[in-house]
This record gives sequence, structure tokens and C-alpha cells, in this order.
Amino acid sequence: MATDYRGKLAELIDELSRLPGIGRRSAQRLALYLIRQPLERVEELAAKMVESRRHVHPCPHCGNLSEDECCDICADQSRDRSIICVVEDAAAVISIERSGEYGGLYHVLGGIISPLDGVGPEDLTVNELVKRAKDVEEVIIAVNPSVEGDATTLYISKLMKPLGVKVTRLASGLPVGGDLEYADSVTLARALLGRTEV
Amino acid sequence: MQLESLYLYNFRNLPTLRMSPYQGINLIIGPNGAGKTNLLEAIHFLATTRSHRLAKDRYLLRKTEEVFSVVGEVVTRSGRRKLRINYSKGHKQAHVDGERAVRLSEVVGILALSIFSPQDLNFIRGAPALRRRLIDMWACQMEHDYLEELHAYRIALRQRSSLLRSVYQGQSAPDQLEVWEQELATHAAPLILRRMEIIPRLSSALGENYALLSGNAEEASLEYLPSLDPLPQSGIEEISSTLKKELLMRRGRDISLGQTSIGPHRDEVRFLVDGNRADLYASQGQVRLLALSLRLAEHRLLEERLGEEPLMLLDDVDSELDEARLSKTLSLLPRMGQVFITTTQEKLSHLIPDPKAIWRMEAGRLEREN
Repeated sequence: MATDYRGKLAELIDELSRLPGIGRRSAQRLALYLIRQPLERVEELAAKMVESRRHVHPCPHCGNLSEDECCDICADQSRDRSIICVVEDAAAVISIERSGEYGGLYHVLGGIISPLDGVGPEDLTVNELVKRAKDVEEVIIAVNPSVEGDATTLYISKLMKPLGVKVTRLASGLPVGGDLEYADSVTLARALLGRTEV
Repeated sequence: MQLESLYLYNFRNLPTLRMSPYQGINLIIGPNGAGKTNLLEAIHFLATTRSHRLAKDRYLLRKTEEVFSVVGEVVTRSGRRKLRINYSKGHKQAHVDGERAVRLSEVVGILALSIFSPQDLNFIRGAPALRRRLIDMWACQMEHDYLEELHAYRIALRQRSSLLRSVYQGQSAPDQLEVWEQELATHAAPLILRRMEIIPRLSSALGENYALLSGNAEEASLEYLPSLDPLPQSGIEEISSTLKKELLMRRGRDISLGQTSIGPHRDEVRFLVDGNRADLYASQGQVRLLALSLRLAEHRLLEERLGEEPLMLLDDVDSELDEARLSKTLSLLPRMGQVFITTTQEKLSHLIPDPKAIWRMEAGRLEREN
């Protein structure tokens, strides 16, 4: 009696379960779904995967994802080139773009400093940032407000100091539509520190 | 503050238990293993979502069962609240007044209490880490920010340790340590400041209670020995910058040690009796009296902060305490608001002043006697 998947199907499940966020069970479900689909659909999916892998690459300037020589944002001449927003990954670029409030350039670090995970500044695009920052007026550091995020912010701001560029970080505080009564005290304290004049 | 009703389901050895506690002293008498401590543990769980014995949640579950609940109605100065904590499949869910709490922390502190248990003796005699833990738990109750800072401090500590080892192995440059030292110092300063404030207050309340219980025979106190010594007295900024400098000075040594040799995680807190370290010199009787005085002190400071009396839970308080000290302890009870006290001995029912409720507990069943 078969107690586990074998052969090609087992190989497919193995491959799928290596994907982020996919456990053994999800991998089985996906694999069983895929083998029931018309062959053309699966071929199309496979081709899409290969194509994206082949054509999408980090932008040589900012590290954002791009299919062209340089990403849409870097290529856009209407954007403010005197300001760079530093983010952890390409997903953060999308988030900030959605806000519609930012018209400058980006710099994708490719992670955050965390010795526990074996990630040091040399694993990030920090040197590239230093080169780019020489030509701008302001660098906004927009990483998550965690201990690691704070350390990364500190590290970058120290590197920026000798360049004479203005370094800012995102304000942290109350969520829009939030209720003061339900805000935790740390958030409230940060919001007070970062208060703005009206 | 009062616990008006308590309902337990599958908690430890108690399949179900209903109790309408008396507003003053509740004396619970029963043989060993009847479930008296479990009852107090359940009340502690309702107040803090944790066991006072530091037991993991799954051990609170009755054998062969899958869910347990602790439900209680609390009357405080600000009104009546119904609390409920359910445990199922490794997860806890709290409800306040019938509404699901988004975070467990929303429940913590609605019911305030102090608990004395025989394990408290470890705080006096045991390793320094236990006493730091005690102070941390205490500070967390007093100020919510403390927990956040402590959490951030621990993350920064682990990150620096990891980097220290990486530097030692030549895989990272030493100057990368600077940001972690800054993070450590930033989060350490509020911890140190809060300890500086809390420990002397706790010490003087401890001393008063100890004097009372020992008949003024001895003096007891609590001493804070910060690892950053001397400690700047002028505030958070200075503590932070002094610690940062010290971390930098110790960097070389820390790299070879593979750990951070200074900071709140290395602070010492000591109990003293007549100026001598209790962990080294105190007798069993002194240790017991210290532990008891500590909880009575905690109860009083909690009362000062809340503006009302928290509950006082005393587990097995009469064992190992001589007659004179026991009766002094019991004479304090009528001033302490709602009290829960467990014993195996009948004689306690005569020693405790009236009015009181006497409960009998046997094999997980509870009945009121008077």
C-alpha cells in the first residue's frame, strides 16, 4: 500500500514545499490541483515563471524590480531626483507608491541588519546607497520601527552624516481612524514625540 | 476590589468548580492534593493570564481534556467586569464583558492581586536572575512601557551577542557593533531608571512589614546593585550615554567572551537582613518571613497605585512559620481587603479573626462551611 506520494508527483510536492509560506500540506494541494489542469494551462504557468525569472531583475540604480534596463521610477524624468526613500524590499516601494504622497526616488536595501539572521550591512545595498546619496539633498529612511529597523536606521544615518545630506525617518504614531483610548502607550509616546504643528 | 464569582472548567484537577467568594477573608481548608493551590492559581490566571508557578498553559489543562476556562466577575472602583479566559489547542482567548479581547494584555490588571506561595522562597535564595525577574514582573505591573522596553532590550542583546561571535570569528567588522550598543543603551536606560525608582519603595515597605512580623527584632531591606557602577544620577539621557561608553570600552572583552558583560541583564537585586546578604546568611525562618513581607509590601504598593485594595492570595502560609509570627501575619489580614488563604491545618480557623468564610476542599470539591 502506498503511504506517500511517489515519483514525479513527489518531486513536484518537494519543489513546491520549498516556496516561502508553503508547507507540506499546501504543496500537496497545489500539486494535486496542477495535475488535474489542462496541459496548456500548466505549460502557460511554467512559461510565466520562467519568463518572469528571465526578465525581471533588480534595477541597477535603486534595486527595485524592473523588466527594463532601469525601473519605471528611476526612468521617470518627472520624479524629484534630489530625494531618496530607503526601504527594506520592493514590496515597500509599492506600499509607499500607493500612498500617492511621494514623488522622489527609492533605494531598496534588500533586507535589514540582523546579526541573528546572519545579515550584516555588507549583505545589503548600503555601499550603493552611499554613492547615490552624494548627489541628493534628503534621504528618508522608511524601514519598519522594530529594534532591527532602528539599528539599520542608525547605521545608515551614521554613513550619511559625513556626506552632509539631510536624513529623516518616517514618523510613527497613531493609525488613521484609530482611537486614542486603544493606542498602546509606546505608540502614544512616539506619537507625542513626533507631534507636528497645526 | 472584589472577586464576586469564579467558575472553573477543566482547570488542573478541577473538572468544574463554582465559588462565590466572601468579600473579606476566605479560608480554604483541605488535605494536600485537594486542589487548594490550583484554585489560587486559577485566580492568578484570571488576573494575569499566567500561572504564578510559571507553569506552561498546557499543564493547567485537566488530563485527557482539550479545553479549559476560567471565568470570573470582578467588582472594582470603576465598575463591574466579567472576565473569561479560554484555552484550546495551545491558544488562549480572553473575553471582557462578553467581547473578545484583541490582545491578552487587555485583561491583565483588571483584577489586581498579590500572591504568596512557597515558591517565593526561591526569590530570596535562588540565582540573581530570579530576583531580576521578580523586579521586572513588578515593574511591568506598574508601567506598561516597561515590558516594551524590556522586550526591545532583549532583542538588542541577542543581536549584539550574535554579532560579537561573528566578529570573534572574523566574519564581521567590529564597528558594526556600534548601532547595537546604541540600541542597547537606549532601551536599557528606562529599565534602569524604573528599577532605581521601584526598588527603594519596595525596600521600605518590605522593611516595615518585616519589622512588624518579626516583632522589631531585625531589619530587612532590598538593595539595588546596577551593573553600571557608578550610576549617573541625572536622568535617562546620561544613563544611556554612560552605558554606551562603557559598552564601547568593554567591546574587546565582550568579543572574546561572546556576550555582553554589562547592562540591566547583569544587575543584582539583594535581600538583606541586618545588613547581611539573605541569599548567603539568612535562616529558613528569615527567608520565609522575607518572602512574606515582600508580598505584603507588594500588596500595599499596588493598593497605593490603584487607589483600592487588590486581592491577597496566601498559599500554605502557616507551614514553617512559628506561632508568634503566624498570629502577627494573620492579624494583618482584616486590613487587606479580599483575602484567600489556604491551609491543611484546622487550627488556622481559630487563629484567623472574624468575620470570615470557611471553605472545605476535598478531591477537587469545594463547599462553604459557615
